Amino acid sequence: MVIIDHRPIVKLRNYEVKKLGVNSDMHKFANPTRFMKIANAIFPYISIACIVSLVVGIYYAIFNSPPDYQQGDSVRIMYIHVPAAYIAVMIYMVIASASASSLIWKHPLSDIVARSSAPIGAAFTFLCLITGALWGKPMWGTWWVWDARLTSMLILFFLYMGYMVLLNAFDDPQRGVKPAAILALVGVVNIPIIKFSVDWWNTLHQPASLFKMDGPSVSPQMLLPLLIMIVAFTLFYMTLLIIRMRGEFAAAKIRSLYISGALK
Amino acid sequence: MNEFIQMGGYGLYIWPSYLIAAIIMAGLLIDSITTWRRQEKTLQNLKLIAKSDNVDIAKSDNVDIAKSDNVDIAKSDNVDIAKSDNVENNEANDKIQQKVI
Amino acid sequence: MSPYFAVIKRDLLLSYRQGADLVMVLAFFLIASALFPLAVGPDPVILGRIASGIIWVLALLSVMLSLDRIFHNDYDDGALEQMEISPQSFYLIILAKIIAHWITTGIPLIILSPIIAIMLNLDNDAFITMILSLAIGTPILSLIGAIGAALSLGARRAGLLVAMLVLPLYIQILIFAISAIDASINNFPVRPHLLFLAAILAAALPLAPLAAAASIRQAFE
Repeated sequence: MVIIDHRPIVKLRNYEVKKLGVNSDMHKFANPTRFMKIANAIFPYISIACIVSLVVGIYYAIFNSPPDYQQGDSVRIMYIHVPAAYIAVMIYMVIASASASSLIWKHPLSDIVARSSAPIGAAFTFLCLITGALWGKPMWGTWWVWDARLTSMLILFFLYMGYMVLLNAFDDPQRGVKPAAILALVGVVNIPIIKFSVDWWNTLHQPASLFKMDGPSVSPQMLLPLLIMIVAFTLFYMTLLIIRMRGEFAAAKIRSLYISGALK
Repeated sequence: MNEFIQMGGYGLYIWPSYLIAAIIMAGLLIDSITTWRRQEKTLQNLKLIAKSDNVDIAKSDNVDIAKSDNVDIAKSDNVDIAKSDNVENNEANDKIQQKVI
Repeated sequence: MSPYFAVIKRDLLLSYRQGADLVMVLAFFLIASALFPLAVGPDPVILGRIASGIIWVLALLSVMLSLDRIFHNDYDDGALEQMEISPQSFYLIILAKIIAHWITTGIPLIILSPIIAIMLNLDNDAFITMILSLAIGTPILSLIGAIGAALSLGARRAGLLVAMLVLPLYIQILIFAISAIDASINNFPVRPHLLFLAAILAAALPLAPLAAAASIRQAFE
């Protein structure tokens, strides 16, 4: 059987890329072992900070913040809903950047970061949608409404699902990495729609009050628990990311053991 | 106490929100840790197997295959082809065999 | 220019010879749209209100079902690989294939849509807008669908996978198209909505073949 071998051409390109990038700062972290050493070193601090900020944030959210003059106590759902939404979008940007880095510079860590982050982002998007529904029922009288922001967050959830499905859709487990990276980049168009949907359309969802041009318009007593919860969720994401990356590295080592023929 | 749970009438929505958040985050944590532990365990087991078997495998299996199979095939096939078919066919077959991975 | 016209001609000839493919897409459009009066009841008022939605959702699904025709057959028999390593610009070849796909899928849908609209009792004011929205929208569907088809080359269950990948991106197009048709029914200006659709088309036209070409290239590595 004659097999046309494309590899020489590709290897040439790979070689060129390696030559260009070898001295840049970014590639200091390209060495997986070194990265894992740094990650393992900071892991205890990050996990403890995460637990502390979660406890402090929830204490402030439930016990130490005032009820809203319009929405009453139901505003306490905001301390879960808004950080979850922020994390969901931020993780998608991380995945998109990692995908770009993996496709353009073939950075070896990028696809591991992207693959590990996806389930976390999907879970937080789901949490955002659920808490949003639980907040909307007493406030708007309905569990769901098809306005611009809710629909685009739902699209974000579908994009996460599609990304994870595409990663595992091929018989060869490594084959799905590049298509998933391309999908992540194509889906980036959804992010500005999420951010600006409340400005572009008349929606039921309230307009931006945190990340505005002239600063947040939330009262300071509510702003503090909100920011603490955002920090807490971010630290939680970083903790989970390190744990998942350890698992991915172990899986990669297993794969290379099989490939190198050390096992039969 | 009851007032605290009711939360001004919204308790029915607030507490499930926090509960679902806790469940989802705990679930993510447990899933991540168990996957990691499982992969590490498999890795350790495979490393042990690789260490114990490697010496035998490297010498016994590979050498047998290299010597017994290849040489037989190389000799038997080529000779048949060279004699029965055209010389051009033989050269073409050689080129194809070089490209076969 | 002529190699790319040759690609379009080749794809058109292939789909003409496998006439069954084209007929299946149209038959699905027709039969599925007949399901709705049966399911929702023949009341013309209700049907008229959801007619635009039915037509657009079915157009979406028909395009999605026909997406495996763009790349998969050529991928399976090696023609796509030959196109990739040929000296012609792969990006333009992909664009030519997408144009051919639109000619064989989008245009028949546009032609069939007034018949479906009459069946579903669409408002008279909305006819022109519906045809216009389909005319601008179906090329976008082909373009974005080509990205999905390219990403799923060689995957298990490629058909369902393409649906999962492509539907989130289709949702936005659907929203704009339906808002255009609704605006025409309620006597609001239609132009802004159609301009939005045209803007999406203008953005997708250069970018979608780029993403599709990149996906196909990495499928061959």
